[in-house]
Amino acid sequence: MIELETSDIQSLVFRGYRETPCARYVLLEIIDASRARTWLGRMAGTITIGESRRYEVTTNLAVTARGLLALGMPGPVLATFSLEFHEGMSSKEHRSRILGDTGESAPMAWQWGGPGGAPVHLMLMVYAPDPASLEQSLARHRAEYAGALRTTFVRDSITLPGRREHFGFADGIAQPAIEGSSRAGPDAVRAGEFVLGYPNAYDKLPVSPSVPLTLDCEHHLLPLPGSDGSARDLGRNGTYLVVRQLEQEVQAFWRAMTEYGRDPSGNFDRSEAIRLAAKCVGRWPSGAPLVSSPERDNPAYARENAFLYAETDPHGLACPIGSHIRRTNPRDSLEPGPAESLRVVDRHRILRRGRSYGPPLEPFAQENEKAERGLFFICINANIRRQFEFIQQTWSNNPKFGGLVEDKDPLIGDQPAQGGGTFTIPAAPVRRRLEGLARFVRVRGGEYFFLPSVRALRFLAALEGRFRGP
Amino acid sequence: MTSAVPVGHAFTGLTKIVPGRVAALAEYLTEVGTHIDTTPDFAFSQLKTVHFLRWVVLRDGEGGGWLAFESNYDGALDDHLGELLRAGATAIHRMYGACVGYPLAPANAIGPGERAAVIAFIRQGALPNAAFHVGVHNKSAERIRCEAEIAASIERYVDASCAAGDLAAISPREMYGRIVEHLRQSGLLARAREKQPGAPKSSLWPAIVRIVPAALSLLPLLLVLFVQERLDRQDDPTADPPAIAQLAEREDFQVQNQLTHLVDLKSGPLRRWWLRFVLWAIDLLARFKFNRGALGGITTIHFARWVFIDDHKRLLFFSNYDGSWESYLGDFIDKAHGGLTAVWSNTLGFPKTWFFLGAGATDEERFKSWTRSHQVPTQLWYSAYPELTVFNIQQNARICAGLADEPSTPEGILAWLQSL
Repeated sequence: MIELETSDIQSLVFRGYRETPCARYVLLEIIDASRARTWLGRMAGTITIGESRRYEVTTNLAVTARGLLALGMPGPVLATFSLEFHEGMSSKEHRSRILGDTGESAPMAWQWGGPGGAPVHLMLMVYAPDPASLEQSLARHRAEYAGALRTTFVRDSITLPGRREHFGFADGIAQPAIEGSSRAGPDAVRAGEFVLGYPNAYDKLPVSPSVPLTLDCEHHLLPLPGSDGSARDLGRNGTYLVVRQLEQEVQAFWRAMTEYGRDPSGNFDRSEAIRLAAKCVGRWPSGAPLVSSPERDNPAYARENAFLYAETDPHGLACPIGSHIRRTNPRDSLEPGPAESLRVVDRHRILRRGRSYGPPLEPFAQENEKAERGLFFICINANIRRQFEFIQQTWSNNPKFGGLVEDKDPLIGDQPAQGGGTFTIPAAPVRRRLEGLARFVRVRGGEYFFLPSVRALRFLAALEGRFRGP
Repeated sequence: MTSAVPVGHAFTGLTKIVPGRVAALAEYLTEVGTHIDTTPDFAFSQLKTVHFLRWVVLRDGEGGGWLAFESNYDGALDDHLGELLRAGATAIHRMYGACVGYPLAPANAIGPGERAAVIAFIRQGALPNAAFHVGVHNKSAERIRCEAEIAASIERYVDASCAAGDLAAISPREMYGRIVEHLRQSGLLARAREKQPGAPKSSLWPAIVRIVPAALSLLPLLLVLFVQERLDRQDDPTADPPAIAQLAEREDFQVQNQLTHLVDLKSGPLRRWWLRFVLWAIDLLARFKFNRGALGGITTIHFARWVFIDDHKRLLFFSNYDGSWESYLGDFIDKAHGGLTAVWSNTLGFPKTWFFLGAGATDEERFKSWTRSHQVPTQLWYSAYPELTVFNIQQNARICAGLADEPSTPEGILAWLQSL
């Protein structure tokens, strides 16, 4: 059994802080490296660590590759981080292509993290039980980093009733349990899939960023496993964070479902629109999985997560093969068979920590309104390429997923701009295909972050004086 | 009747490039490769005998290099090369004109009278496959495209039927009959019902009876190699970001991707003999056992081959596969690590192995990093059916088979309809 060093791990790894409904994400640019390092040293003592449930204000802090450079991290040390972190989410055309960040979702048009925007160096994530304590905490942080950092972007989360996201579906139900954590059961996923420094699903230690001993004179870091002690482990108890601001076109989504759901004489049929939307998602609005309750929503199954596909629904007659939840977590349904599938899927899991933002909108609202709303998507994984990017490319955006021909994920897939996409709903005697499907989720910002351990934060704070950054 | 002619062959050729012209040739291949649909030098869309083509420059580390050519084709080799010369006379003249011993002068063109000489020149560079895998046996490129067209026509018809009214009340047999009638009216039914050669027999025994005695005779060799294995060195999992970016930027434009991989063998004749044996065994397994679309559980490979070059000093790997590089390599590790470890453990820098089959490729990050670091950018790559996966091809074949022989039971008809 793995023993996690929880007092060195930021608590966002273990918790989404559902008990504290208010949250703010603050993107920061370093304007004075020396003062920023001093501030980091103070943060090492105040960020929230460990597994226990919190009812008060909690704080987590993540840093980008550019942020590390700005803090004075030498280039060769930065190169020991994973390539995708190092390159960033938006700098390479190939990455934009596989993530589906094209057309209206192209980085050029992003509110933050794109090529034209302000540099993203750090992200402060503060969670609080009420708006007043959130404001109070943020005011204190601002006072502390004044002169060291500049706020470039702020986004407040909101909590929708019933743990729902903006399309109206309960979200965040299927979360992997981390081996060695208090939630771990028999199907827990290896700790090294979510935290560096522990064996991963291949029973190997994930490649971890490291620094030469000479840079770590104060011995904040532990020796890198497998080295002769001359390299120190900067990654251990840290992990990678993927952040994407996903704007949801709620009205367009429900209008499309309404059109697809009209009865043969063209009449509006609310329950048919909801049924089609549920087919796209794979769960009913309450969260009940279609495989558990194929015909109608049943709140008794609202938090149901112990279900499989291979035996109950091999052809997707209940839950379509291409639905959002069957793509992003295929469970036992992949070739060549259930046991192999479960093993492979464990190598492509993520911990989702996102929250909604923007005012809610009723599904069948008539009046036109243009407020921004969506999901501030955050996920945690130890290997961005094999976990987050794989799910996005090989499962969500892959028209051939599960033997399909040209469908993409109906919720988050990068549907073709011309003519729209298709979505196949298996049925007897033959399937129905929704055609001309538009893209209902647009990417408005994003970046890859590193979520450092407390030790790593102390190390970063101590870079001062020994190395002059660029 | 192309289906009567043996299909799905492999040709590999290696031709020495004139020193000093390596970079210019690579540039030209890239130019053609990035404009497959529009290049005036090669009318790819006219090709009938081709599944996949690639031309790639392999550098020798001393400024020189070879032009490597991979083809997966149907019918006789000379007919296939003749077709390439007709469709791509300008491109082939420029490509092979940069090679040592090319029979035509630069000012010449490849007319009908010159074709035989050029074909003979290309064939001079032929190399045997050490191991070859075909995803879909007994199916010509033309038939693959024809079956895809039939399936697409059915899908469009079903879409239109859905739009015209609710189909839930219609019986499966009625629906099947309507589809057949639709194909009859569109003139596709006869082609759908053309008799197709069956899938080859799949059996482990023909491979086993050949491999086991040979393996036994190699036991003393293995003991020596086991000692050598203890001394093997592995590469560190370090990335070369610009090199990886150069490879990645040519990937993921369509559902298929390609891999060209070249690595030096570890030194010594024992290694060489052992690797020849391993590849020979894999070739047998691919031929007799894994001949129905899956190579050791991997179901996404159209064509793949290993070829020795440079007097057995280096091992070349070409693959045409479905999906992302990341999922292909994931499949390598999840489903076929033993076989791949057996092959590549005989090459430099491969992750540490245990008795030739163990560890190795299961060292995920190290194995992926090693693969990337020996991967070669492919300048010119062409697929005759870029929108089809191996699974799609097999599914389309099943759809056509279900039209040639109407399923006799209601369950059979429903299953056929569910495959749409």
